[in-house]
Amino acid sequence: MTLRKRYLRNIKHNISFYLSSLFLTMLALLAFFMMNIAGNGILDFADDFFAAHHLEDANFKTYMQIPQEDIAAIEKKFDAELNAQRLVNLKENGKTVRVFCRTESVNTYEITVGEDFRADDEVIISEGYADYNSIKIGDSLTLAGTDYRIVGFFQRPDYLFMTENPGDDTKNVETFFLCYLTDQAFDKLENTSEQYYVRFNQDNNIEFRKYINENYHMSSYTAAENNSRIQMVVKQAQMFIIMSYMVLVLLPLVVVMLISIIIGRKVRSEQRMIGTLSALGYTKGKMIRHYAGFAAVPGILGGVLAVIVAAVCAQPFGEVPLNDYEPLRVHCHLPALAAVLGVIVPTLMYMLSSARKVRRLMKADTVELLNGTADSRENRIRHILVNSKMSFRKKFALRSILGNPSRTFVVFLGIFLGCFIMLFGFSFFDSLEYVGTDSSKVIGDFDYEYVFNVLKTGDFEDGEAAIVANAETEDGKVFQLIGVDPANRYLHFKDENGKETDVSTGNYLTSVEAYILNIGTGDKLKVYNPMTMEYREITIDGVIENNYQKAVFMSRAAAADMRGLDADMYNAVMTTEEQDYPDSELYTTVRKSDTAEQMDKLVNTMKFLVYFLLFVGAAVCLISVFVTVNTLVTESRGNISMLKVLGYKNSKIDAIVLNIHHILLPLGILLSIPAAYGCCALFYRSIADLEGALVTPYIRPESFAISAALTVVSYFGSLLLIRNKVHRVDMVESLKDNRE
Amino acid sequence: MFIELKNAVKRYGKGENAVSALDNTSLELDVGKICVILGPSGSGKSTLLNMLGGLDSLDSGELVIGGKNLTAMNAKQKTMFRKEDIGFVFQFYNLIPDLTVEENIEVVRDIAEDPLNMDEVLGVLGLTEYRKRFPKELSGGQQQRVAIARAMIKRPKLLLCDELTGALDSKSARTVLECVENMNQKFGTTILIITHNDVIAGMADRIITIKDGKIAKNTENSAKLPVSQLEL
Repeated sequence: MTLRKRYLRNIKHNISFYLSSLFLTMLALLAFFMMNIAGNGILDFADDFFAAHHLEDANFKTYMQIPQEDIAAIEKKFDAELNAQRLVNLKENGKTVRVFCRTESVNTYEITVGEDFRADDEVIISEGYADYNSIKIGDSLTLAGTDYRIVGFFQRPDYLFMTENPGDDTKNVETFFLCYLTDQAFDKLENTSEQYYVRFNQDNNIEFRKYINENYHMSSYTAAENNSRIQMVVKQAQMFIIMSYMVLVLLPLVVVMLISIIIGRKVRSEQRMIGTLSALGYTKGKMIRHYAGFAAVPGILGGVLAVIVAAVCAQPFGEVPLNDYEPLRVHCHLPALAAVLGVIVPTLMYMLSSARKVRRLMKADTVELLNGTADSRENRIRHILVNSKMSFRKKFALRSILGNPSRTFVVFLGIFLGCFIMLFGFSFFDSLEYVGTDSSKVIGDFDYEYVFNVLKTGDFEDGEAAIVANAETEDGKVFQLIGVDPANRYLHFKDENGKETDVSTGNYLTSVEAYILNIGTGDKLKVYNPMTMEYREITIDGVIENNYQKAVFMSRAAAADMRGLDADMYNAVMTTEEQDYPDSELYTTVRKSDTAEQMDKLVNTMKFLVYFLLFVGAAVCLISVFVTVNTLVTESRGNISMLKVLGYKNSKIDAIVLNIHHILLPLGILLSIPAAYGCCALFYRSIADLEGALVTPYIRPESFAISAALTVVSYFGSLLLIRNKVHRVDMVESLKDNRE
Repeated sequence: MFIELKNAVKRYGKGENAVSALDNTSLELDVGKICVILGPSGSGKSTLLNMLGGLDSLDSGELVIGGKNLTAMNAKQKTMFRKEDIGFVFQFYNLIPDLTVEENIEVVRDIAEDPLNMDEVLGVLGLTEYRKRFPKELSGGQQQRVAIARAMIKRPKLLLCDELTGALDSKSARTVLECVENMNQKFGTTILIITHNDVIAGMADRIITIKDGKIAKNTENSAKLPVSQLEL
């Protein structure tokens, strides 16, 4: 219809609004696309890679070696694929290299650069380490005094998230790497051990475990779903996808509010024209579609532009969160469903919001529309402060704020969301940095914890002996069973109320594990031995404040009893001095300073995300305030020109018209603080199981100051941009409009 | 002379579409007088009012009001001139809808150097009982009286009224005109009224008729009548 000609003219007339809405829509959609592309790309890659390289269902170690001929028999007996792999950890120039022999069929590697090794003097190493340390094909590597030539880089499915110890939170490609040698070269190394990988074809893993333990005495068993090196990839990808859909709905909400206000006001200001068209025979449906068309413009344009940008930049977008892993060859593309949803969802939200406004107005009588008196309900809020002695400026501001709740809400939302996004970004990283400080306080006063893969007996005088063993819940969730002497000099447990507790008197659950298992004091817990699948039911006597270890603490005697060990046996020690144990004896070593270092490293590698969120937050605040106050100025042209006629200077007019929302600035900033804390806490709670820690939300004072300052700058920046519009209001033109 | 306008020229548009709103127009007006300017739509009345009020600038010519040369003033100086010397009353009142009667008047009182007493102004214009009401809660005549009160509170030297009774019934129009007359008598304010309505010319000391941007007629009104005797 001819009315469509208005679209282009109207867009030209309200170009700042359309550009702002377009930009906000694109920003929201690009955040959605980025996470969606990354999540789907990683998942697709992981599925293919895991399948192609026969990812394990579980890995385990035994005290007795399983002979090669037994392996074939076990495979047949349990209809499973079982591979043994020889390995050894070597220290070379302050770096740890885990040297492997090839496996037959499970957890096979893929050469990503160069070629596979053939000769005994050739090695291949993990690609992430090679990249990080700028190692090239052809470089030499010394292992146990022998020089080898690096002929290729590789990746393997159970080490895509490269951590030295199973419980580490961040990847380590700086000082830890993997390496493969020929069997003949490997034979020359000392203190090697064996590890087994199994793939089940049937649901018989419990019978399998029992059989292995009875015949070969298992020393450890880790199912793939409890292996963070494997699960980190999958769960993080799934988290990206979930977050992408949350962003798809939440961020355009601001634009929906803006569109709702602008279109609503546009419709109200055009009620005479609507009345005329209605009198001329235009149906309600036609009118609603016409005005919905105005709202659809930023949705469709923003959607299409964002799809184009995302399609072109899919690869760099998708690679952003790959920082955590080995250099994955993820093929990133924008999924068709995401592209369609990206265009449809915001457009539909905007159109529905405008249709709702038009429908409400169209309920009015045509005569009322023609007279311009439809939707002119008496605003009771206007009557506030009538009898107050307050200056008219303050009354004007307060009535304007309270009398236009939707407009006020958008300004508030812009300030609040802007500051919230920035604070949330900061809280994410500040909390991680704080983990180092906080964890060292609650974990204990020791500096080193050595967990052995052999049992020791007798007294240990250089520190405290302990029993550290993996345990599982009934539904297969892994945690640690830690038995310590009641007089342990390094551990000072406090319960949820800050009261000192004594492990000699019972079983104490850490707060993070209590949260993950959703149990507390007095509850029963079945503690399974993952090797034998036998269990003991224990009563939780208290919850100790420790958000960084998924564990149950008890006395060493009780832990020994649960595992069928003698009372004087132990497999772990805590010390303040570094000890020199052979690698072959060690299952894992925990340095307390590692946590802080790991967190610092993680934060530094992802700092760009903070800058991105600062930009998004500032943009949201600036655009929301700009568009809303811009509308306010357009609607207040009459008042502005009258103030000019009356002799008001520009600065005074600015103070009356532009500054009315100032009160919302501290309010929005203040409310964003608990919101950021809350969301940060929710986020870390949601990944507590995956991370094995319940990260405490923390925001540094500097972060508060930067977020608040940027919000204030964005707010006043937007007002500064609009100031010229106020100054440009022409007295004569406005008065002429009034005369008309 | 209080107002001296000499050879004023104002054109709108360019080239073939250019329209002369004021075409070499000149006029003079003594202080304390009421002047009514008559003329059909598009004759240049409103342009003249805009020039006198410092809302717009002449293309050429000279305008001096109360000894102040408006043609030599920049935008800031004109703002100061409007603030100190000019009062405006418009056909559609131009009140701020979110402010009460009292607060609308306060808008001008707030920037005036020597304002009148609020109660006195409200009393003179019969607005005391409406002081806490909002414009929307008043009749057209009452709203126009608020607009007059707003203009009056700062003791302007010149009151410019643009079709001030154009939207009112005859009873309200009379009340409003009586207020203007009262202001002229009580404070000696020079008043310039632009109107279509010939009858209003009866209350003027001087009647000027404009046609096509030129002064068609400029006469002393020897038969000046009080508003109460006008046949509105």
